[in-house]
This record gives sequence, structure tokens and C-alpha cells, in this order.
Amino acid sequence: MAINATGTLLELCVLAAVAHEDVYGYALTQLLKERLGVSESTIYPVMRRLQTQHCLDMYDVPCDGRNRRYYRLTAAGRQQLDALADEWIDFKERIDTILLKGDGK
Amino acid sequence: MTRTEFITELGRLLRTLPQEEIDRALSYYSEYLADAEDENAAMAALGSPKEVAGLIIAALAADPKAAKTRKTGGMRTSWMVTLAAFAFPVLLPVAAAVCVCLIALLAVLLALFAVSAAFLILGAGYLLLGFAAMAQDFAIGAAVFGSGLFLLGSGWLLLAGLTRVWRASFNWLTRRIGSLIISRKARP
Repeated sequence: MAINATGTLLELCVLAAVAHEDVYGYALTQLLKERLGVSESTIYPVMRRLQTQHCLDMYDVPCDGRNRRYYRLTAAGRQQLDALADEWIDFKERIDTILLKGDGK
Repeated sequence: MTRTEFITELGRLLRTLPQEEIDRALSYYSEYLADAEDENAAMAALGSPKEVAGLIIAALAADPKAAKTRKTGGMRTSWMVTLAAFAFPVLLPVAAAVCVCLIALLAVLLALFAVSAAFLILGAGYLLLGFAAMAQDFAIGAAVFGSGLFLLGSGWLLLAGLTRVWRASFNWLTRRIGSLIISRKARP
């Protein structure tokens, strides 16, 4: 893939994936790798940033004699997801306009 | 590289971060590798611990909300405070000893002044005495007169030397105190 989801766009993707269902780190990483081709090691920093922004919180579920940490969206995370999704749609339309008409008008 | 080695190395590379960030990252990646179907493949896909650590540190550095990597600075300050606290019982006697030494030096200087004064007075006395004695016995009178000259000369020499030392140390002291006051005033 020549165009990559990075920065804010990757944040949006993580938020959207967690909004779909609560998920643990490995599963989320595999999902995003499969769909977007992002590198595995880029996901943790994004999740950590979303935690510090209080967009994600965590809970532990016992699994195979240990705890598995699940991530879920907070109310702030939901707001952030909606805001970023609007931004993305706007951005996508701008790109589409340029691609289709060539001059952006 | 085993999972434990990977996590240990990652922890070592993250050591400049706040402890909370290290703990979170290490528990995330321990769990991540435990969840993977193939641990080795998962480690290979993540890249080296160095790459993983680099991304974590870069993300924290770019995020103004995150706890910054000020651990080293904070450590230094707390170390300074600890060191000062431990050094206090040692520094206090040392400072006292330095003060005592300075006072002793001053006393020696004053004593030498007294000696030079005594030489001068004694020398003057011997001059008169020698001069008076010359009338009775010229040799004895001349010897006493000569001793008086010797005493006057050495007293004078000593006084000149001491005045020099005194002036130099006084200048040094005033300059030191002066610069201390100026630098303190210059501070905001």
C-alpha cells in the first residue's frame, strides 16, 4: 500500500474498530494490519495516546489463567470518533473532487 | 530471542521514560506476545525491541498531554537534594574547620604584626641604649647599637612584608564578597 494510515487517520481507525466491539491489543493489531496493512508496532503508541486523551479505557477479563486487557470506547472517545469521522468524510470528498474533476472546483 | 528477552530488552530501552509508561508498555507487549498464535512470528513482525521502543518514545515526545521524559532531570534534582542532606553532617564540620583555619591565619598574621612592632620598639630602645653605652665602653655600646639597627631593620622588613600580605588578602576578600553580591543581584 502506497498510502498509509498514520497519525490522526490511524487514531480514527482504532477508535472505529474499538467502537465496533471491545477488543484486546493483539486482536486489534491483527485486524488493523489485515485491513490497512499498518505495521504492528505502530498500534500501541496510538492506543496509549488515546488513553491519555481519555478516549479509551480498559478492563481485564480472565483468560487461560491470566488477565486479558480489553479496550472500550469512553464517551469522550465516542465524541472524538464522530468528530474525526466528519473530518475524514470532508477530506475524502476533497480528494475525490480533485480526482474526478481535476481542478477541485 | 525469547519473549522474556524481548520484554527485558524493551524495558531497558525505555528506561528514560516515567515508570508508569514503562509498566504500561511492558504489560501491553507481554500480553500481546502471549496472545499471539506464533510468538516468534509476532516478534519478527513487531521488529526489534529498538524499533518498538523508538515508536513509543517518539509518540510520547510528540504528545503534549503525555507525561514527558523528564525523569532524568527530576532524578538529578532529587539526587542533589538527597546528596545535600547526606553531605550536611559532613559539610558542617568542614565549613567550621575552614572558618577556624581562617581565624587562625588571621591570628598568626596579627601575632607577626606584634612581633614586628616589638622588633621596632626594641630596636629603637637598643639604639638609644647602645649610643649611651658607647661613652663608657665603645665596643659594647657599638654591639648594642648594632643589635638595635638589626632589630629595627628586620622589624621594618617584617612589617613591609606583612602589610603586603594583608593588603593582598584584603583585596581578594573584598573582590570575592563583591562578586558574590553582584552575581546575587544579577539573578532574577
